[in-house]
Amino acid sequence: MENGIDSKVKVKLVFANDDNTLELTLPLSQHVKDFKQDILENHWPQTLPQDVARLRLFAGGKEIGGKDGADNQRLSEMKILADLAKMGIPAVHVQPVPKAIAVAVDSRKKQGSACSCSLM
Amino acid sequence: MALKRIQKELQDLGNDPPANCSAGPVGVDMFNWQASIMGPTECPYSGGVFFLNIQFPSDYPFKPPKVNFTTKIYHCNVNSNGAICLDILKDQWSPALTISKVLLSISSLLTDPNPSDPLVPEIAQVYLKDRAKHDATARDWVQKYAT
Repeated sequence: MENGIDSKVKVKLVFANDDNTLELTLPLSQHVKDFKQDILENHWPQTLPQDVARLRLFAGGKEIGGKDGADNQRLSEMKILADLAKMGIPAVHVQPVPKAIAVAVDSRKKQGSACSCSLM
Repeated sequence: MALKRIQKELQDLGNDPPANCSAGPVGVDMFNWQASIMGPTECPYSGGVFFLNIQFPSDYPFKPPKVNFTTKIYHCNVNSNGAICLDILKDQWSPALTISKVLLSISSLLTDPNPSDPLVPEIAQVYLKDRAKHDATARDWVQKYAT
């Protein structure tokens, strides 16, 4: 991992439940959401399902980015990548959320928000 | 001794990462780790990600690590506190085992629950008597807590 405004980090992508791995060099200024988009558009293995609603990324047991705007963070804000890079190339696990699950989760949320309970 | 061994395991995890497990120290304390297990395919936990906490004892690897789920999971060998009923975490522990192997064993437990030695007997009964209902509930919990 290099320091500075133009610094980059090399990561090893590990696709969950698949034999595919891939090494990528990324600018630390990149947003997590753009990193995910790049994986889906340019590096998604043919051996994995194509019906992907979104991706989840993990390094050192922690999630990189995530829901509620966390994907808007830059990779440089991911302290875990910097820590792991001190020991070698950080492994980043890629877990797809299938569309079927994402739809079910969304409809569950809508049902929850449509609750007609009133607080007394 | 323990610290050196834990550092070596962290290095090995980076060099040869398992396909569906990620783990590392929570902060600067090398004896306190977190891990994530991606639900294996072809089981009701597929598509979910399960977080775990790992506590290494000071005499590791002579004593097993304490591992528990922090994500709720509907599984007959995991109770509501996240405790896991797995022999290698108890009497079948060996210093030759590693945290990588432990996580792979837990991942295997998701694919093949062990209802004959349950931590939650009610779930084991459903697993044995009505597998479709068990799997539907497990998938429901994945959507609620692990997606």
